[in-house]
Amino acid sequence: MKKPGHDSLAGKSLTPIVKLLLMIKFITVLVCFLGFQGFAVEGAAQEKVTFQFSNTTLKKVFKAIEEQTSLRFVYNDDMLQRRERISIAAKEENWKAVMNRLATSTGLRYRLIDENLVAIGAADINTTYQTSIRGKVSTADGQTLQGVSVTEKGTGNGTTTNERGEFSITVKDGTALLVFSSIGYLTKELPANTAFLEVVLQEDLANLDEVVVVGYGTQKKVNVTGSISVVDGETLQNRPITNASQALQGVQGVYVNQAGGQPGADGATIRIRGMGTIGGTGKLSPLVLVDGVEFSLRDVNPNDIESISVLKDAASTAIYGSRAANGVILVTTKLGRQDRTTIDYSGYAGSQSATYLPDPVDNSATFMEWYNKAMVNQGGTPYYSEELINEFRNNPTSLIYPNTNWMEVMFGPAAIQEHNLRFAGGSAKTRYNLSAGYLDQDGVLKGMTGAEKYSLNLRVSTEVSKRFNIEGSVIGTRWDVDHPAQGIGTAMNRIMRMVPVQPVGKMENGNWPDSWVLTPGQNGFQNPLIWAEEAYRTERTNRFMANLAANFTIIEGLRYQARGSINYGDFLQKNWYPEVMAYNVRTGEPSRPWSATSTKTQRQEHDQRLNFTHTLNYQQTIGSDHTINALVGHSIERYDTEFFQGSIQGFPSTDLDELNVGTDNRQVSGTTTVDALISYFGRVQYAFRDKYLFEANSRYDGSSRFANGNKWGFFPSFSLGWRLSEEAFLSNVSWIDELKLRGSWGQIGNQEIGRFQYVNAVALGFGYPFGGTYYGGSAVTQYRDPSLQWETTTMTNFGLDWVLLNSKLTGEFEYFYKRTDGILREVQLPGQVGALAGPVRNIAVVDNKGFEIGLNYTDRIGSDFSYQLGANFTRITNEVVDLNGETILSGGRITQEGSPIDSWYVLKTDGLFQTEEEVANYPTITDRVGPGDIKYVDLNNDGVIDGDDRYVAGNTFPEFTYGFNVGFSYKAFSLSTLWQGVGNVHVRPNNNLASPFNNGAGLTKDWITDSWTPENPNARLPRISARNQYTAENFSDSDFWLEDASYLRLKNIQLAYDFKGGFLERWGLSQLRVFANAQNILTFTNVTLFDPERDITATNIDQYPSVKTITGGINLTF
Amino acid sequence: MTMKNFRYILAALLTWTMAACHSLLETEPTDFYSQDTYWQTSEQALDALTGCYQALTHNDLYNAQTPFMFEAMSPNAFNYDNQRAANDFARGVHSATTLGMNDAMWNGCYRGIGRCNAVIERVPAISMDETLKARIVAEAKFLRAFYYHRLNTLFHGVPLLLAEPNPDEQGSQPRNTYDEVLAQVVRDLDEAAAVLPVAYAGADDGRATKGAALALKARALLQDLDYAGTVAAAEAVFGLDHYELFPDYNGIFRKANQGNKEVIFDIRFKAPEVTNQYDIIMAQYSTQAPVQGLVDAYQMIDGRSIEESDLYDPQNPYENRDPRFKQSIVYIGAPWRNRTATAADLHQTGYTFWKFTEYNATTPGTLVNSDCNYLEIRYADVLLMYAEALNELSGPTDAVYEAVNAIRTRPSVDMPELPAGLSKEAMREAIRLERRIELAGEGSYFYDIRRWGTIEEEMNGPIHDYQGNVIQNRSFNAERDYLWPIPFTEIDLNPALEQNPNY
Repeated sequence: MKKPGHDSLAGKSLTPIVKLLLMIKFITVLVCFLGFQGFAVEGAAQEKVTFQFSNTTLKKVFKAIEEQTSLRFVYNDDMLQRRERISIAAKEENWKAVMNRLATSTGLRYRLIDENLVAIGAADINTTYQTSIRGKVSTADGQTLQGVSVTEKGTGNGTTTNERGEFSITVKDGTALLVFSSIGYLTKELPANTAFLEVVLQEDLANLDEVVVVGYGTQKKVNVTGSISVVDGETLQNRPITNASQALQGVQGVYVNQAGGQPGADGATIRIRGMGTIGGTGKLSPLVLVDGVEFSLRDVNPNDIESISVLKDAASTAIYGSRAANGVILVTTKLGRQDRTTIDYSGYAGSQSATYLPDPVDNSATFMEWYNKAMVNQGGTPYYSEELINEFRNNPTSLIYPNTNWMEVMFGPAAIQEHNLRFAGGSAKTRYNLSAGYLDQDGVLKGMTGAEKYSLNLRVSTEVSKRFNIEGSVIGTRWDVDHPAQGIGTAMNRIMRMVPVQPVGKMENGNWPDSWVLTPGQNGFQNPLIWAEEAYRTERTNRFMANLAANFTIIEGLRYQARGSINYGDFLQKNWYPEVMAYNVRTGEPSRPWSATSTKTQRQEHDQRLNFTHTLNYQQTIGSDHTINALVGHSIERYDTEFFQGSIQGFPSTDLDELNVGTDNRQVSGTTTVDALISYFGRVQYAFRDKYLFEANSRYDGSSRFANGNKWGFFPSFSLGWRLSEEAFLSNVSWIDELKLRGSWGQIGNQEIGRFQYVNAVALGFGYPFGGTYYGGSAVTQYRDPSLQWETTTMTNFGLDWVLLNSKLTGEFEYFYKRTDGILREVQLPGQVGALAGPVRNIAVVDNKGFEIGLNYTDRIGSDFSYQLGANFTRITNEVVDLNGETILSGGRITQEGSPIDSWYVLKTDGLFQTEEEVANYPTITDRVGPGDIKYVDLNNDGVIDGDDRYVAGNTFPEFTYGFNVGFSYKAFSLSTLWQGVGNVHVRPNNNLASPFNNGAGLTKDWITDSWTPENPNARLPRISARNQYTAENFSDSDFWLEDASYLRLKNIQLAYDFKGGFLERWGLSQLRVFANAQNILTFTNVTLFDPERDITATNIDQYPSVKTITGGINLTF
Repeated sequence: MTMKNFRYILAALLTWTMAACHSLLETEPTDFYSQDTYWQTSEQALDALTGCYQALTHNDLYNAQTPFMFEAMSPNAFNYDNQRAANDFARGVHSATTLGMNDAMWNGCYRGIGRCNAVIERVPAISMDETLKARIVAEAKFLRAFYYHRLNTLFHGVPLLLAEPNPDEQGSQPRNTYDEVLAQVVRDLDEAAAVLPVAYAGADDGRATKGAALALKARALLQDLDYAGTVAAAEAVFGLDHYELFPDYNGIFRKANQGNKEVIFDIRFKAPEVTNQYDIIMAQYSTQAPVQGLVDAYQMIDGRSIEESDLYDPQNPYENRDPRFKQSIVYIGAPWRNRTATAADLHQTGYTFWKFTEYNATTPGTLVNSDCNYLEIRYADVLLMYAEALNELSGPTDAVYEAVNAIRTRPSVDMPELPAGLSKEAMREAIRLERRIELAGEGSYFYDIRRWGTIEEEMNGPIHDYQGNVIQNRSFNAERDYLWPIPFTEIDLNPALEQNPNY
């Protein structure tokens, strides 16, 4: 009996020889490499040979191949000498093909035992080869597979597929079984009963050898004891993802909120397992590392991503210590395969449009009429005369009688296109990836937003010697982004403030027209078109990251790595805000300036992150039962930033706008910052019979963000795993492939508290003019507490992983409990203490508890139809446990003990008052309240409606997040969908256009149809009034205005077609795919005014709208 | 590379990284000082003092729309957009949970007080020129008194904190009494007046002077109805023989005349470093729009009211009025910004003020960031305080007449002198009207009517626009509204603070 399986090709008969010769050859090869081998760009697998021999020895043939390729042969001379002489010719032929012919004719067998070391052995002399079989191996989606091992079952006979996925093998007879196997695919057995075999290999989703990227290394998935979600780069393919943060949407345990689709500024907010702490975005954001280096998701090309690991529990993240409290995102970029060189092009083009925009009243007469109604309802007098309203009503739309819909003026469809080109490949020693990408995205806010991105990514890994490997990557990204001058917030605010009486366009003489009808509150001339036509803000960012690592195997199992990286960015912003005068559209007289003085501002920022890390990794298997893997490391990181800003006024005209041209009011500012982090970290993994798993991770971090004595923090974690499926009692249960129970506990920290919070600062910049000259001044503006320490998050996690039904059904369940204590938060001080901002102190405790469940089912029906279903669901409850008895109130929200962070804290309402009598018998918030106004509930029954009647009415962080994906493929077609949703979260839109007539702004059409009047007593909205003049009565923060912002969104749907057939080959293509893609195309939500995916806590709608994008494109692989 | 070499390199790298780099963690701030190392030099003392002045320019006090809200909370003007809840205060519908002007004043003043306290506590220990040191402390004392006077007037009896800010000691301190705070204000002003110079050379122009300290003392004592003290303080101002009325009434407010002899204390701005929005507020926002009641209060040039005078023509109501009218108020038809003001321009009441702005009859544009100064105390105010106090003390003496007439006969005003032989009561009314007119738009009338008690009538009832339309109704609860509510957020943070009565 022979050992089955392709991995025994070296065979019993070879073993002793190989062992001996390997030693000799290894040394030779090593010397060669140390001597002259650089980057072998062409891999051994592709190497071709040309020769002609007749009646020669095998030895000479091998020598010739050695001379023409990087291959080296090992063999037993005696064995070769016994063979008869042969004749063979080859012309530019792949060496493997030659070897296959040789093997067939001589009965010898060969095997590539190392990347370019070929062992030659004798075949079993009893085997006779009679039936010749050819065939082709490909994946379910039609990609041909190279390097698949094809063996005759029960023998040592075998071969591998070539670069076109083809193989030929001679077997005993038609009853022989062929075994096809390749890493990452399910092994398949087929009878050799036809002359040509079409073989399709299924991807092995639960491959035992599948590895997961973890902190400072990789780990076999089956051995993972922490909680990690993985995003496969393939699922991102062809999606119009403009910022890699969007790629995490729908991932289990991760809340991703993309507020708005402004090109170049559409990164999503990411919260892993809830809001762990109090105090600002920076403090809540996860740590992101790209190829092991801290980097931003914005600057990594989504197309270059091989995989993303989201580390969620303390066991996985503790190795990142003080930056890990909000989870860690590890992005790995693509690297070529050893066995083939490919050139890929992928590109798409399409169109974006706003998902939701408010629907404003765009008829001037209606606007004025309703403004008057509001004034009367508030107890005032009509502002616009009947004559004026009639004049508008009776005149056709013109510059003088405009009826402008500013949403239609400012927003429209916008083009998007992206192109990516990739060269990837490798040889036995070297693998590389070189890719270039280009994104060109216009903004749906026309004329003032848009972005272009250029990206380059080079990644190389090469084995200098058997023990010495170097790898490196360079990422370069350039963004050119257009914003409105003064920023998107100001521009959106103005757009939402526009009213229909404001004319659009220009006057005949080229002047900007200003309305001749003034709306109170519309103080400045604010035509937002001027941003598009006269002003600008451009932002250019260059980012560059170089990352070099050297790996050295000191002794067998002990590996040292030194990694150095630099991540450098520069940012240049130019802002031009020119002097523009508006003219009364009727009289032509100068009316109001849009800007009275031209101002040019230029800002430069640089940042530089240097990191130097050493790790020492020891891996050893003792006997067959004990596997130990240990890692120790040390890292130093320094982060420097600086900015310089200058502005100037006094421009002679608006034609020239460089800083050099201006003359007045020069202003400059700038500063530098330094952060440093020094860390020691380590990991121990122990596995007993691959069944009982133990792991400990820890990190000892020193941070410049804390005072001496408090700089250092220690963050440990432990985890255990039990692979039940390896136990005897489950090994016979056929439907269970893998079952693992795991649990972890650990502590992690957060250092994002701002710099020098421990220094009682005397700040500068508090100047005052004396005698006509400005003098600098100083002031203490914040009281600081030098004793502040690390805040610590303690997290417990339990998980169950399963792979069932022949790997068709996979899934996991997780429960976690995360407590953050000693939360660093700015304490409020009574104003009487110098009106100082309060000190940052370790005062609060916050809990996040929840569970996650994920399920995946993959199967096929017949040979043409396959499908995949996936779903995940996460529930998180957040509670402030201790806030030292304080409450933090901000914009209708409260953070208090016993409630989730930042809960909506508003008045309770009970519909609308219907009659004067009802008003008279009810406590009212002011004496102006009348029928049609909101009825507030006197919750504390003190007869007065005031702040004491507020209650916690909603969340600003969703309790539920979920995602599911459904994919089908039928023959050459495939359809994939990604759905994503959130539940139990609320928004409170207010302010311009969200509420009517805010300080002169307009109103939405629903007020015309749905607001209370005596004739429409069951209306949804109260009687019309002006938001800023009738605030208490109708626009107080109340549950009346709280909207449920839950949504379910078809995030992405993609239909693709893969061409097959001979023409691909004629064109040198291995893949040609066309696809159509739609992003954000369908949304189910109750929110009507604006997209539910928005800045949740913002009480305005002055935000860039979200966009839906429809694209089509192709993928080509050469 | 041999194994041996490699080991050396490895050892060297590890040693270097572990030993040398811990100093990396020792970062030092590069754009601010630490309290521990500050307070060493006279320059630092001066910078810290500048910070005390700078607190005046914060949005809470003299920037944004805040200073004008006082006028809009008086019968003189109307604010439509309820910024800082000023309209709620004006209408008397504010409550214990109203946060607006009360919160701005509380924090604005304590911000300044904290900085002044640090200077007063720290500067004496610096070794520097003693004369300069004394002046710096005296300036800080003036400013501290300025801030406490404001708080004591609006809230009565606030926590009296005199040491450098320290939350542990000061955060729970309850309110002191009105008298304790007033006594400290007077003490600080006396100590400041003893040291401060009468005037400064050019580069220091704008700092607190002896005259400013004395004038503020007069204001504080008059607010307390201490007429004798007021008279004495005002006379001390006269005794400096430094101040005089600026001949051009409207010109007092112009940047070109900054530091003229009528100005006793002003809040200064300078573009581009310290700017305000006064110009655009007056020109476009109508944040404090004069109401018809104020316009009607202006006399005719014959010194009679519009009801009494034959000169009044309802068809041309703006003609033949006290010349201060056209120098203070823009009306429909007035030459304005190189054209004629229209109803659309003056969209709230048909009027706007012509003070604290850059614009004049010929500048077309509006400045978004202007740098007009705010005149807080001017000589005319001292003359009128003196007249008011002296009339209360000893009736309409010659000195009273002289003070009021000086103002009425200013060259650009040229109003008839007050008729001789007025009774004390008639003189009181005359002085009150004179204050209202002379200081219209300057935020003074809000305090004046509270002091006089006339606020109970004046802030009860409707106000009107130029066409006589009612803009809004106002009410004043005499049991409650003389004092503002302590911001409830402050009581939350320091429960020892007691709320004012009836809130």
